[in-house]
Amino acid sequence: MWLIWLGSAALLVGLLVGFLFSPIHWLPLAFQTRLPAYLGLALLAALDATLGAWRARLEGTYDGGVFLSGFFVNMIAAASLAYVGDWLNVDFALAASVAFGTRIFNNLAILRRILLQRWRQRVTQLG
Amino acid sequence: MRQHARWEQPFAIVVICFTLGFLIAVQVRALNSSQVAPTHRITILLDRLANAQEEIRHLREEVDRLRTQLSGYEKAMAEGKTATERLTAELHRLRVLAGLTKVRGPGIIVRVTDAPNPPAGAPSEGIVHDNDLLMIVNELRNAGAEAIAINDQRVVATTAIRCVGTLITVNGARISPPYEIVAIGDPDKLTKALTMPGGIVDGLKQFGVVVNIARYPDVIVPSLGVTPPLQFARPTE
Repeated sequence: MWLIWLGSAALLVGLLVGFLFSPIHWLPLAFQTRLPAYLGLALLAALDATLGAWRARLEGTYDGGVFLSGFFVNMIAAASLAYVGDWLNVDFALAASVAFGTRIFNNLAILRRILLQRWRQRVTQLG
Repeated sequence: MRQHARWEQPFAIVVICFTLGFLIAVQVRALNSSQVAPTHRITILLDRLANAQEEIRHLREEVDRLRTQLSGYEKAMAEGKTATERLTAELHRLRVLAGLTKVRGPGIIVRVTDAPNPPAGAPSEGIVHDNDLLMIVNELRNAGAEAIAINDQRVVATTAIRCVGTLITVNGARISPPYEIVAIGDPDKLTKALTMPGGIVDGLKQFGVVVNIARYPDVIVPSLGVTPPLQFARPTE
């Protein structure tokens, strides 16, 4: 339980830091305009990693190191690929969002199945 | 292994939640940023263009200011010094020729308009080209025109009349039809130079281009906007 509080507190601190010391205005203008695209991808990667971790946990294959490294490496890779794509005039952002989108939906489907199965087991046990 | 996992999990949660919160906050700030940044290259370029045009306007004002200052100095110099009188007269003459002053006098105004019904099959022939304007200016000069302007752009020794895309530039400034050429000189002589049989007006009329020539006892030719700086040419004895 205390872990949830710890997580929420960290989230709040992150939000505060982001709002108060937003680094947007230190960046060059050309980068600023594209920042939402890169950050959106990073957030998508984070969501993907989180869902993946949940799924791994339910499947019993969770590894903190894998999760942590995947979380950050995917995030940075997605954002920087989009940036490089802008340089090359290739829409890497689209490629990344398709790839992450597919993975997110896959993970969601597997999560749903596992949870449904567990719920049914519980119901039959109770019944 | 267990001890390892004990601190790892809270650490991971804190790091990840903090990063997520930070990124979300920055994203929200970036999207709601009051400073609406241009999203396309073209808007950035348009912005730069507007800035450059503003700068040009300022520089033109600067030129005007410096010119009035200069004429003030000239006046001061001319006062009481008979020795410089001849020099001043020469200076005035040269300033007229160089287009540094607005001038007035008898002359003609030539109005040239694209053909309303261009010849079938060759629509570009009914359009007034840079060459047509050049030839008119040439004829006027040959007939003794002392000052010429096309759509308020003074034509001087350094003036280029040139086609840029679909527009014509004079002194680097874009002008658009109808073209109005003002020339100071003997009105009859200037008119005849243009309307002689087989001359420029004859040629233009064959393509349907409309040319109107009006003689006036008094026309005004504006001064040159910006005098190009001398970079290479030096006077010799």
